[in-house]
Amino acid sequence: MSDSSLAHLLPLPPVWFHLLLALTNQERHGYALMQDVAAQSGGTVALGPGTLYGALKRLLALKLVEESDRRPDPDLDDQRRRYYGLTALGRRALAAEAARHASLVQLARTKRVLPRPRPA
Amino acid sequence: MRPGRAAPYRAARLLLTLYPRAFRRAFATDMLEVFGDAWHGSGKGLRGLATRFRLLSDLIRGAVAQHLERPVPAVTRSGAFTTHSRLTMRDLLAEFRHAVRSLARTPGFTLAVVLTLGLGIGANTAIFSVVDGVLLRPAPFQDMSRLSMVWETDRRSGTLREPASIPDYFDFQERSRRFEQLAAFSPITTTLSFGAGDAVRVPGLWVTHEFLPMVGIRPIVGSTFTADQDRPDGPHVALISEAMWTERFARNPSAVGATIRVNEDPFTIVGVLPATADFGTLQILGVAAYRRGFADQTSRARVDVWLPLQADRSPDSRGNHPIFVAGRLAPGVGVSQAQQEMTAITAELERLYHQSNDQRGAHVEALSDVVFGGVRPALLVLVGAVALVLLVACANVANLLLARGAARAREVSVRGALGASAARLTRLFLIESAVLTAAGAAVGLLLALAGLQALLALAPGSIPRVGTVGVDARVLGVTVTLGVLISVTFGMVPAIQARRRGPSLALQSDSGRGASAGREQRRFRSALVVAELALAVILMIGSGLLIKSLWRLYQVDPGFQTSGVLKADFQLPGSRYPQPRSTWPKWPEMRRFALEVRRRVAALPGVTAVAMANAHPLEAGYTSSILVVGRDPDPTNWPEPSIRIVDAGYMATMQVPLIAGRPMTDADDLEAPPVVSINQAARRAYFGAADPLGQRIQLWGSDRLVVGVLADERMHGLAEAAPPAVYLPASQAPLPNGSILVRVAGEPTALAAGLRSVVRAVDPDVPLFGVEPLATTLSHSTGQRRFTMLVLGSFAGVALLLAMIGVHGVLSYTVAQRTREIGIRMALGADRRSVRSLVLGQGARMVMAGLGIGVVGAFAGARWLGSLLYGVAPRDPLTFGAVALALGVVALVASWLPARRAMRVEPSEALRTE
Repeated sequence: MSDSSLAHLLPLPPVWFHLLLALTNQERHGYALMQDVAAQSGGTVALGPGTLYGALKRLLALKLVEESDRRPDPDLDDQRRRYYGLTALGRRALAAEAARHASLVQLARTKRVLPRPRPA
Repeated sequence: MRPGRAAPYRAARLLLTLYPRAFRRAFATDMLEVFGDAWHGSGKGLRGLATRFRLLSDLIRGAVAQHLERPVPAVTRSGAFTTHSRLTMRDLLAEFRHAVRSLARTPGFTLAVVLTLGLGIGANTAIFSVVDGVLLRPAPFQDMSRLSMVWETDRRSGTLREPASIPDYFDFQERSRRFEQLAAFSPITTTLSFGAGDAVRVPGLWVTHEFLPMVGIRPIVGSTFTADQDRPDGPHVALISEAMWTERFARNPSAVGATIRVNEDPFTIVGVLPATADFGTLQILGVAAYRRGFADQTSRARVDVWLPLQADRSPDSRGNHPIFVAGRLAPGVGVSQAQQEMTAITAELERLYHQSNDQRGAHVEALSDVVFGGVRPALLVLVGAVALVLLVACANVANLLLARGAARAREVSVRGALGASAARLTRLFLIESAVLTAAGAAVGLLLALAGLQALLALAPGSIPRVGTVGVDARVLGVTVTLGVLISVTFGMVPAIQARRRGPSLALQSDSGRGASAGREQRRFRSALVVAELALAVILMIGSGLLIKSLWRLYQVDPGFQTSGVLKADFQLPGSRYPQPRSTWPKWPEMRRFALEVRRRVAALPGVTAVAMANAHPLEAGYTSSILVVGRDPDPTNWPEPSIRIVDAGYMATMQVPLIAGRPMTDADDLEAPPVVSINQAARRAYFGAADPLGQRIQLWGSDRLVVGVLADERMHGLAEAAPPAVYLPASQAPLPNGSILVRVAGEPTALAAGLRSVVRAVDPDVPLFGVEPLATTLSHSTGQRRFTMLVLGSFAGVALLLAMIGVHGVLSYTVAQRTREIGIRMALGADRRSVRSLVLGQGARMVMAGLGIGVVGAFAGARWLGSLLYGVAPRDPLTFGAVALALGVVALVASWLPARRAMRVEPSEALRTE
């Protein structure tokens, strides 16, 4: 799939961005996902069950996220729970959005809106 | 963690039902799990609570979002479409927040609209709930339209609602074809005791066995009386009320068959009647000419016991009228036909039993007229009033919305020019209106609940079934819908106007000034205010008339002094105070009781006078026919005065003036010759101009000497003239029951405990009841009038307030609109005072117009108040004048601020283009 198919997905709403980010390199089920998103956003994105699954439904429909076949560590596993993981498209969309943010940050640095990173 | 049955899970499950089915099928289980984990992981204290609250609200938000979302389009569609759909919920929330912020920026306007809507919705809902609960709800009686009262009438005294005699009742039953069923009842007040001691005085009804089945009341447990139980020598059986069953038997069905003591005799309970069983009793007894029993006493009496009438059909009791007769019309028979038949029957009885039935006829009256007739006019007046208030509120809201809309016309055009779609603009105003209406409805609901509580607390007991009135959801729905319609219509007008006008025009001049649409709008708004003022005037005049009526009523001299008097009613049990007919009036135990109580009470601190009487002065008591010795009684007008048995202390306690002759004292005892006193009404009626002193009156078997004439006492309430009355000394006619009246130097209620302990010391088994200051009894008698006056008065106040807001609003708007014009005038030399007069003049014109229309309307409609007024003509000029003055003053105040603002306009600033 080409980048043009990603264009219509961007910009990603913050909630989706955080969900996709939390699912990077791991599969998660509902509650853990909720906690991860809360932690990594520093509390600014606080999901509840309603909004979480509302977002997941859309992500599933857009094929950015899929239900996972694999299960993590059996000790942590719970048969009833559904685990979610990134699809390839999801991974690429996440990367594209991060890149978009990066270029915006670069622009802001050029204009001295954001401080340039000091050389170490 | 397993989702269990605990409360949070139940709540979550409930909220999950809000989601679309497909979504639930896919995610419900998981959501419940996540919810459970999050709930239990949410920590302690305030933060924990906040987290939990957010969890619950998140569930609701999610549900709303799911319902608002458009279906996910295919991936190949254009970006804009996708973006739009996934932002819908956020968009709406943003617009909602924007609307709230915009409303918050004009707090005066927002508050005014919300309060106005709230008042209109709240008042309406409260009053309609009362009207529905009292008048419109189906009655607990079966097919009440077929039930009627069969009163007897007395052509001599002209009374139309008299009780009947027992032989008459049996004759009615036998002879009538047009009634398919007749039954009788009679009020009593009796002492019930359950087990040891613990006696309580309750209202009761004697009923024939047909009565309850006839009206359609079925017992909750047990059964009603059988014909066998209704024989003159029948068994001692009783029915009790649901309330008594709950209180005393904890709703245990074993109450049926239990024994209670009625006036010391054992009775067996055969059934329990539901709370609605005494429907209409108070109202029926209240309109009866006499024998009202407990209907006379303090309001909200509840019938607690029913006893079989066990009528004795002895022929000598035809001259005695102890029972009320009611009947169910035969199918196809109307009230007038039944009346014709009863008139014929009573005419026949008159012919057969001339002694007892002379001048007695019948009066058939539909039961619903009797029960509701007293309150229907008042309630309907209130309904009219509240509808007027609603109109005023709607007009005010419309006015406020139009004003705001006009002020924002520029803003609307700018938005339009910047690219906001028509739909977006409409949505903006819709959301604002929705927020306002929702807030108004919330305030309205609160006001309705509070208002209803207040109404029910103030409502006199004479309003039927007032205890079971609740908020009517239907009415709330209707009024909220009305509010929504108004808000949406008048809120949308500016959006539509701006679109039609086009952005350029609005952007040039300041908000519609000079544009003809603006002037039109201004006139419309002024017309609205004039209408509001007129409606307020009508309400004010109505309540002014009622206030004056009440004031007039309070001016009436009742003939006795109620303030500072404590009243207590008593009943002596027949077992210890025998009342053998053969030895009357020599009943020494009763006399001893009376003397002992009087002695001890007089010794209590603060007591200045004490008396005992067979009825307190606000009780109608009973009547008896007399004969004036030496005068042939006028056969068309046999004397039947009210009989008052009073002891020597009565005149001092009640401060009834002596007009002629001497007061009766303890010296007028059983050894002395029998004496009576009469009141002025009796003197006028029976003696005319002649001197009654020294004449004799034959009553209860002896000739009694008239020794005194007392001033009239208004025993039938303030609004009715005093009936003729004959007073007997208690020392010559002992009191088995009656009232103790104590005049106290200080606050009457302070003596209640002392009085109770005195009576208890004399005889611990004599209960005292109805212990209250006589002033309270008096105020209860005017309860209904006061109630109507208070409610109408509050409505008038609300309407006036709203109208004034309207006046202020229009004038402020005018000043704002015409700032430039005012500036020009000032620049051209007009002084500030003439500018002020300009504004005040506009205000005055609106007020005059409103006053004029309102007065005309009040003139036309005042007669509807007719039955509620006392001593005041419906077109009382003083009231009309006072209202006009009040309106003028208040309008002046409302116009003052805008006028001052106009005065303060600086011409230089005003002339600068905005």
